[in-house]
Amino acid sequence: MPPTDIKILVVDDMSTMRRIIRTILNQLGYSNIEEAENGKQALAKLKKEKFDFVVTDWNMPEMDGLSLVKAIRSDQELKHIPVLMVTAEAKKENVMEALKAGVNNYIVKPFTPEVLKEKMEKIFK
Amino acid sequence: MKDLEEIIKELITNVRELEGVIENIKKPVSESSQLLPETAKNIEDVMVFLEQTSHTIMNLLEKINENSNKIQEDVEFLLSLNPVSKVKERLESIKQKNEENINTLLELYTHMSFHDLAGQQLKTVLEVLEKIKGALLDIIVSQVTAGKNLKEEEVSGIKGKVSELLERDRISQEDVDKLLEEFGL
Repeated sequence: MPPTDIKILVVDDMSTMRRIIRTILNQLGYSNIEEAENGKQALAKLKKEKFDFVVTDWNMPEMDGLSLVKAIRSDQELKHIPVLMVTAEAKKENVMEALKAGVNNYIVKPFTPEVLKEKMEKIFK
Repeated sequence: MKDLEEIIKELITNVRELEGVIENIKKPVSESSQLLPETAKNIEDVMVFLEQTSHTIMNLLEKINENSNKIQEDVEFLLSLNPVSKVKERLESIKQKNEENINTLLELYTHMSFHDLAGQQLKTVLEVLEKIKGALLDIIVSQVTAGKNLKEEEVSGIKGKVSELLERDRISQEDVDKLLEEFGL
């Protein structure tokens, strides 16, 4: 697992979902967590502060998760940041599209703390 | 004289035809202008209610989790005092059950993502309603403009007017009549 002092950005338009992810991350020992409601807000935060990990939803207003991943990967300063996509989009082509855009891993909602832990372990191995 | 009679007959026929068109338009405009926004509003209300309730449940779960963590802390402390075997046995049992409760709470917490999944489905329903509104708009406009040689701007004006009415929560008979009047009906 990555060190517990890493700074994580949770991006989701649903406040309940942000809270769930934050709580699970807290349970896993991570407390340095910030939130954004959509890709646009997330990108602004990423350009302003240093983050070590991004957990993002796919379907969001203004800027969706896929566009966010593409924006991160095309930015010299941000492209190294690992991104985990947490979404209800469970079709094979969705996963392929996300991977092509540059996500490091993919979780389908609803998910358990074990799954999040396992994916984080894989990303930071 | 015969010509005049024919002209009058033709006029009466035209007026009757137009009356039919008016009746046909009044119904869908009135019904849909009332039903579509009402349905959309109901769905939006459900989404807000779901979000509020989810947060309330999560607050309660967090409170229970907080208490469970405190119990865990106290049991650990009591165990550290090396109690007699029977007490130790009970404390170990409390500790185990409490751990189970904490894990169940976290599991319950993750199930709260049903709100997000349900919300996404409801958003899809709202999108479908929006599409239905568009299709209805096209039907109404094509009915109004049928047989008339209207310019593109005029058709677009009528479309805008009907759309404006469909956006409102309710439409009065007066609005319908005003609209029809604007169409020259």
